[in-house]
Amino acid sequence: MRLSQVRKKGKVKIESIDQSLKERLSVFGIKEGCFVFVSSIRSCGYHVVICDDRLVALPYHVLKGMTI
Amino acid sequence: MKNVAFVGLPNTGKSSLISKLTNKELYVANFSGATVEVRKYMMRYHHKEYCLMDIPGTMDLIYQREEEKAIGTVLENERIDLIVQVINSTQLKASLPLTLQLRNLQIPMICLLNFSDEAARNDLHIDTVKLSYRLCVPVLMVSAFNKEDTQRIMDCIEHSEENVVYRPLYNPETDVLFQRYAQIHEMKKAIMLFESHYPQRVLLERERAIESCMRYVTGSMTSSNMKTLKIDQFLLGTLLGKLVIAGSIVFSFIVFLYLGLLLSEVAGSGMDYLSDVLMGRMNPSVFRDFLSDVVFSAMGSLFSFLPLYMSVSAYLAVIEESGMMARFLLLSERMMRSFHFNGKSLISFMIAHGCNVPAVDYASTMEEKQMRLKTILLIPFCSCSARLPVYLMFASVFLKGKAVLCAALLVLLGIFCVLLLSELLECIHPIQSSELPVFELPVYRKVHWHMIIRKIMYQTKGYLVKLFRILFCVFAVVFLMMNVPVDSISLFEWISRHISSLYLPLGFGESWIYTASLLPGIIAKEAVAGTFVMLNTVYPALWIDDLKINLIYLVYVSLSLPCILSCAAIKNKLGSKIMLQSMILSWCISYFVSWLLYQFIMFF
Repeated sequence: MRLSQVRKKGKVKIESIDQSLKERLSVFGIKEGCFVFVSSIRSCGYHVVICDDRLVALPYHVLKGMTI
Repeated sequence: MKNVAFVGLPNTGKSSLISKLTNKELYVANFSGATVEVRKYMMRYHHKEYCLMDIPGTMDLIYQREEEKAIGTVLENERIDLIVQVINSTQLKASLPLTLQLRNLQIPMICLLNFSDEAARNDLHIDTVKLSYRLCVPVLMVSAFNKEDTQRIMDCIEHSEENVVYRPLYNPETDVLFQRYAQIHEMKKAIMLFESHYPQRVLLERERAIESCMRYVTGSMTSSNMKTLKIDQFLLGTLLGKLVIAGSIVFSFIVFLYLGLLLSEVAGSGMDYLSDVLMGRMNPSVFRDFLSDVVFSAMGSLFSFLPLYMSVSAYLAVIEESGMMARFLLLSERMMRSFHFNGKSLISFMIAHGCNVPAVDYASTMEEKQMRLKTILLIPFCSCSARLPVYLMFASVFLKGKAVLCAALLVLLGIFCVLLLSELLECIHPIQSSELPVFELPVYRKVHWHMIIRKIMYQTKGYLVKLFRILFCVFAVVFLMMNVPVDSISLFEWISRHISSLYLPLGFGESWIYTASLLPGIIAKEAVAGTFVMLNTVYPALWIDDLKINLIYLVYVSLSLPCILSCAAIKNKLGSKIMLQSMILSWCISYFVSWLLYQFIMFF
């Protein structure tokens, strides 16, 4: 299931990340196998998640590139 | 001399700590990427020289964005004696991958866990002794706001070991495997070879090492993050919240701007009064005129500019420190991308409508180099508050009750030019994709008044002497031009008469007083109105009694050359070449638009 399809807030495990996004996301601590807390905040093309105690706003195209 | 590199993730307080250690005011902010280039600061401690290097935020030593490559350049070209990794205590886990990478460089290092006060507030406890033992690196809990920590940090820097060998933090089984490499090669090469031969195992070991380090942390930031999320739920998640963010950003800007303008007025009047009192006691002489027209005029310009500049800086500091800036950037990013800008460009253009100088300063904190350049080049097209009196003065003569509407249209014309030029520049040289970037949102923080003062001091100190020098030189040149006679008229009038032919295609070149009024506008835009009134009183016959011509003149003034202070700011941030390009661009555009408008008006 793509992360962009998640509608409910809660903790999810990132199973895989598209190769093109891996580099960009690793700098925010988001890697394959890590847990992120998906919030219900969706705004202006962004979805806010918490990873390693950091609030990160992910654009929808990035969410589509991650499976849980 | 010991070279100390301050490294860490963005927004961990590297600049704040260096500022505290060196007692120098640096630009600091509660958002990622406040520092965009490596800066060096010299200091002495216990009779020893130290060079503290402020390196832009780095997330990873291997995967780096363009703006993060500064650390690589420093490591390649500089002799680093000590690495100080600044870590946000509340985000330790996120910083540990970089810690492990930095250890591999085999350069002595210490870790500073910054924001200890914030960690304490959130009941987050880190056992620094055990963590230090695990990492084999000195670890200190510090706060940039705590004076006593300065001594502790400097003592730690002073006594850091010169020759250290950091063994990777592998488990016993992997360590035995690594030992074989370490016996044959020196440590750095052994690590490199081992990592390239066993990448998956190393990755796993790193994760384990991070997990083992996190055992020394009790509590978490969850409660603080949840509080922030709850606020964001309303502010970012609802239409009303978005309006609240946008409204508070714009409203607070208007308040700070109004306050700045008020203080500027007071400071300007104060300087005028002081000048009148002192000059009144002196006998008329060339020296008195020089003192009045050059020294006091330069000081008057400087002191009427400073309050405005300081209030805009205070505004930026408040919205940055509170965490509102990052939210506003997030909300505006998508909209601004469609105009080929980013969120920070919007803030810069908004500030530019108050004063171009702080706008240039703020735009220079953009991570993307080309976006920074584009925004700074287009800032002069935004009508600053100094141009408003000129618009209102001219418009009130012709349009009476519609003067404000005319001023508003001229401001809109500036915005239109910015958007049009952005589109043109994008066609010529595309600089960005339409994809939105990933954002990190800082938690909402209480705004510390001393932090605001520190930021204002940092912003102002750098300008005070430099600007006075520039203003003094410009006023001295104007003074000379006014007093040197050429063909029985002043050099100023002679130049104005000759330049006016250049403006014949725009209509207002027929009268030299229009051109003459443009020249003092280089010092400050308000001076255009003042000079025009003065010249018009002396030469009333030279007034062009035509609404169309005066409107074109206003259009030219609204888009023409930035003032000398803006030019100085551009030179300060991007060098004289870009400053020159900016001046040429704004002059050409203002001339072309005015000419186009003249042709259009004359057609009807």
